Amino acid sequence: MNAGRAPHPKRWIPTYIVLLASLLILAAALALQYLRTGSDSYLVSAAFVAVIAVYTAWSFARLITLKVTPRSLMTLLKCPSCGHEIVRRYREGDMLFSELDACPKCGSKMVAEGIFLKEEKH
Amino acid sequence: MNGDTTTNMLLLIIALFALSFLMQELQIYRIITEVENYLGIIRAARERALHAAKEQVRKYSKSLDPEYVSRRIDKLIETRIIAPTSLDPFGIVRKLKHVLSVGERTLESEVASLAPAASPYEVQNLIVLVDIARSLNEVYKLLNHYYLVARRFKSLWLLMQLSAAMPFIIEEVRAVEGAVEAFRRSIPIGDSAGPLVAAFLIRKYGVQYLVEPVKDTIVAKLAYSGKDIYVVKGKGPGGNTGHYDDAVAWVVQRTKPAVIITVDAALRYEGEVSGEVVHGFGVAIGGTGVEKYGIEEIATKHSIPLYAVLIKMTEVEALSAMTEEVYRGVKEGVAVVEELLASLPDGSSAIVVGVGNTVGVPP
Repeated sequence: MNAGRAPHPKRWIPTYIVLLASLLILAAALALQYLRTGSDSYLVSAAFVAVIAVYTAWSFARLITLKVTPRSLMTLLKCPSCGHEIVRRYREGDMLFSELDACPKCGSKMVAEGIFLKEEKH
Repeated sequence: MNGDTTTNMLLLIIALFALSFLMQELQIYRIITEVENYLGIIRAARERALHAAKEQVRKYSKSLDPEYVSRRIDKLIETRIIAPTSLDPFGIVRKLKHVLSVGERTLESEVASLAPAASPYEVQNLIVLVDIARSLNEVYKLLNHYYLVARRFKSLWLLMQLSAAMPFIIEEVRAVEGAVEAFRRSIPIGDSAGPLVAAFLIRKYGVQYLVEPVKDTIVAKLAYSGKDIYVVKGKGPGGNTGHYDDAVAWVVQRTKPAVIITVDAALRYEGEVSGEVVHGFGVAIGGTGVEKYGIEEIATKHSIPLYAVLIKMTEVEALSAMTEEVYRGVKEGVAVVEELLASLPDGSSAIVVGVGNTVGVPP
């Protein structure tokens, strides 16, 4: 079912990419300033930003390896005459044991044998 | 030791002392924020369930003022079931059954009066939606009460207990909330596994007769050759669980069954597989225990063996739309019950009870 489903966590991927890129640029700029001026405060700041960048990269790696398997509501139709089975997406009004679509093999009315959530295969 | 060193030592001791208090205050503040976030999730779930219940009732109450309907539902979700006293436990199950049936009847008549255009099975689904909003409201109010008390007394221990329990409570809240969509569309949930097994048996073998001897509960005598097989389930496709004890008593008045088989959803442990079917002995019925007690009483009195067929699933699966794994478990459950029935001697009789909410499962 799509309604009421929690938002997909991978929607944060663009935010992570922007954040990580900004942190790396900042760390590089601070390191460059240290090399130019030799001031320790730049080195400390660069190290601090680098630590935050490492943590962000680690969180990002965890996020992209996260496996979420969405499920869709399906209706299993079975033909009472020839036994042919079809699994199709649930349509509003589908009711268990009611006669729905015509059988593609013999033309008889197919009966809804099951309504269930099925994992989507990509 | 000179004066400066003494002053520094004193300042260090004072700083350490102050820090110990500051750390505790910070910890309290952190846990308060955490608990507030969890409470926000539960409050949002309650609001969504309440909104869904109101919207659904309004579909069938065009002739009534929407404000009036909304106010009545707000009142309904505040009602409480008060369990009978256990000071004298003798006859407590009978008393509990009485209290529950009064609550059930009242809620049904209230919802039916608010939704005059709804069919009886639609009224059953509306009742469940109101019931979901009611249980989420109760959970939210109870947790909010503990949170406010803990905050008022700045009790770190109370807050820590709340914070530790919250992830488990959130899991249950999400499970209950998952049921809203299923009841709105009237499709089977995981808990409907028992009634679905019963419905498949009825459809496979056909019936000699099908009666409703008890309110919202059907008894079907299967056209099963050589044996008298009675199948009991909630009426459906509305969301109700039926009254199995009274229906079993009705059958036992007419025949002496060789066995009573209850088919129900069972909670699985982490690491187990959803849809796995296991055997058991005894009565597989959850809830208040009233119907379990009733069937145990009948079985003990007449020395009838009690078998159970359990279909495993998580709590979230039990309350949300049925998953494919549970559906496969239902099919396997039908085969297991058939095996049990086949092992009975010819001429004997048996009762199969499909336990669970029968939403979306017609007889």
